[in-house]
Amino acid sequence: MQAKSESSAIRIFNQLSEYREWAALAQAQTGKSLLTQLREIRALRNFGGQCGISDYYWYKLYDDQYQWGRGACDFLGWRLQQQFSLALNPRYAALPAEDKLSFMSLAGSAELPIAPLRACFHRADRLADAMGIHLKTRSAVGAFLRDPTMYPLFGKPSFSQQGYGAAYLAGYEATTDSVQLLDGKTIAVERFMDRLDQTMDSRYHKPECGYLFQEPFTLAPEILAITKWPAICGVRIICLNGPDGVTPIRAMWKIATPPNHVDNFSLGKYGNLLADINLASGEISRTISGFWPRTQILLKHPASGQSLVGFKVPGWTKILEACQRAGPLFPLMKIHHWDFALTDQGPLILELNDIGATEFAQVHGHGLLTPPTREFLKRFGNPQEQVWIKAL
Amino acid sequence: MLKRVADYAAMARRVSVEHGIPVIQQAFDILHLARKTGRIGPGDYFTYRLFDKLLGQAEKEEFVGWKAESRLDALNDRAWHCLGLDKVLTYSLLRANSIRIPETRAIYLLNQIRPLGGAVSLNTTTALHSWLRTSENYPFFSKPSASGFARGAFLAECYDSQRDRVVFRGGSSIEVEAFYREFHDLEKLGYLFQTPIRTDPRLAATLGATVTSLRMMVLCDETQEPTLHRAFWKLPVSSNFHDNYNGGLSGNLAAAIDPQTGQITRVINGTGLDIVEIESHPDTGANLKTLFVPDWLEVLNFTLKAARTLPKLRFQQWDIALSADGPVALEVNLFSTGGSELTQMLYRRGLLDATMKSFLARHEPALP
Repeated sequence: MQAKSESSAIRIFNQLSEYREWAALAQAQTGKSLLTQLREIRALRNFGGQCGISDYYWYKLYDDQYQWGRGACDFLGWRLQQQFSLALNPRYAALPAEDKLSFMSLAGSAELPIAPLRACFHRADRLADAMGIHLKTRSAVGAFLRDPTMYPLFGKPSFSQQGYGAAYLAGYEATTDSVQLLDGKTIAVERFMDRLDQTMDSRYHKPECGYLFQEPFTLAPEILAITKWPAICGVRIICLNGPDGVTPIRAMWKIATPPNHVDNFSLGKYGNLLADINLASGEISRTISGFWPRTQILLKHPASGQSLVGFKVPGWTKILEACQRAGPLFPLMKIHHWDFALTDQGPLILELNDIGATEFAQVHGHGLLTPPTREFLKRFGNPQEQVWIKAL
Repeated sequence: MLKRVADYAAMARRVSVEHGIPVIQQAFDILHLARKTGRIGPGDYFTYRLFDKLLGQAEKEEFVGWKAESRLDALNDRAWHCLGLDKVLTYSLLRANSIRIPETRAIYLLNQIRPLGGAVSLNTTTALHSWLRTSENYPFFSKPSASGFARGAFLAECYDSQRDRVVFRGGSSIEVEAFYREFHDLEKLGYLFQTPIRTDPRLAATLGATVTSLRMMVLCDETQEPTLHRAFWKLPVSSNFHDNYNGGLSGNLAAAIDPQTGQITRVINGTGLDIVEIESHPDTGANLKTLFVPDWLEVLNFTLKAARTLPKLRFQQWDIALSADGPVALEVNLFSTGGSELTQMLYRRGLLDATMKSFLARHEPALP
């Protein structure tokens, strides 16, 4: 009991130290006194987005020059991150986001640009052609994995969260009957296949939904010229999906930097970059490598020295077009968080998320709670379940 | 509330008079069953005729009342419920997986294009009116993407260009520009125009020209192959263009079938105390109890194949039409669509039989 209260005291102390450090950085960046900062943090309460101290610093709300639109009153706090999407995407509508196989079948049948599949494990009798080779049994998967011509592959469960069961498969090693992974490690084919019928974590992985083997991509040459690093960089685009059509409200380009093989921003933990995309033109304006107040705007790519400002995301109009066409395909989901890979074949849809991060969508100075988004929430959100909507 | 109590009292008196069961005994019976897993209420008690002396106590306890239906609903993953709400989404998925579905020729949705195979998109009222004024588009069956119990559904025979009207089966008609008001597309998910399904010609002489369908209730999970739990046949009568039972109000019939052979074993109309046993088809005079579902095993295999494509729906209620081209998946129902009620009435058996109990036991610890 005593140890518990000590650890929470340490946590509070550390948090306060961090706030103090942020406040000092904010003062250094803008000249704003601590008192003014406190007054502005207090004022955030009135805007309905439930922003608090962390949000004030993360999104640089202390700097009026940095904000677009109406500024601080447009921002959504971290407390409402999940609620924002849950208000617009009721649980009964989440199938396209939860089950990748259903999503790929639906999107493929609507001729949306989806990432090509090499094979799919599922016990259904027939699957859509877009699912690649249909592997109905564990032994069929075994034969597939033992064919060296099939590699490299990216494997992922149809229903999986937090990356459970996913793996980059580099090749097959016949002498040990193993699959080689990206990091050089190996795993026996039989052991790898356990994930086809046994859950790796019942909360996040449902093996009965099947398993997908995706073809690997090659990065778009325009991107490679800037990043000088072959890891795939993706675009996250957030769209409101109402009966009057699809309205993109934010877009970001996730830039993987060496030695990272994935482009996850993860609050800037891994050193990857995050660029703001102009929705109309697809051009990059601000690029950052973390959250405020500890980050800065990068004008050039740190590895290549190439200018980032004004760079146009390749295939931008195709991304917008795909979002527009996909809206009526999933009309019960009123907000779509899309992930596109920027490949040499053009932008390809990786997945549709029903609940998407809101922190990294606001770090460039655009709040999500603009007047049109507030109106949309009031019109399509469920105020009985999401009471905060009433305060907008 | 008072009216409901009065209705129950009237039913109890009727049971007392017609079946010789004292009201007090009925009340004790209801109280006992209300505490059991099926949570039977007074309405369920009379609907399922649980006063019947032929039913043993254990058999009565297998019935599921409306209050306990949520237990069965919970077998279906919530994220997959959209398949029971949005027919365009369901048809897209089934089509992608090569499951036979009705041919959708056009979808009306203002300012939006909902993709579904080769269906024409009607995204303006002008396009809708023009489509309705084209004689080649007739006959058609139309319905909202989100609806149930045949609400907003029509079977149109032809276009009357003299009067600019859509003519329905039976002779009634409506002005082209007024048709939209009848859509009932409250969810704004689109309104579908389909090629009417032709009934299996082997059934036309005995069941009439309107296509009939089976409600196939399937249990589906990761530890066993999908299995048929119950099935019944919905039989339209008279001028009805659909086979919805709707508590017997539509006049349509419902038939229990032998799951081994597909032969009809019992036919009813009505509900509760007003259930009537039917022997012959009211329009054709055919003896219904000699009828079999044509190609029953093919229909069963078709349904189980369709069920396998939706692994997170563990209690699937399919409507399968018996068409001239073979079985056609009309929709998958998930909850509150009358299937549970009708199957219990028809078979005189509750849904909580040994099969369902063991299935629930496998999944209930994981249910929310």
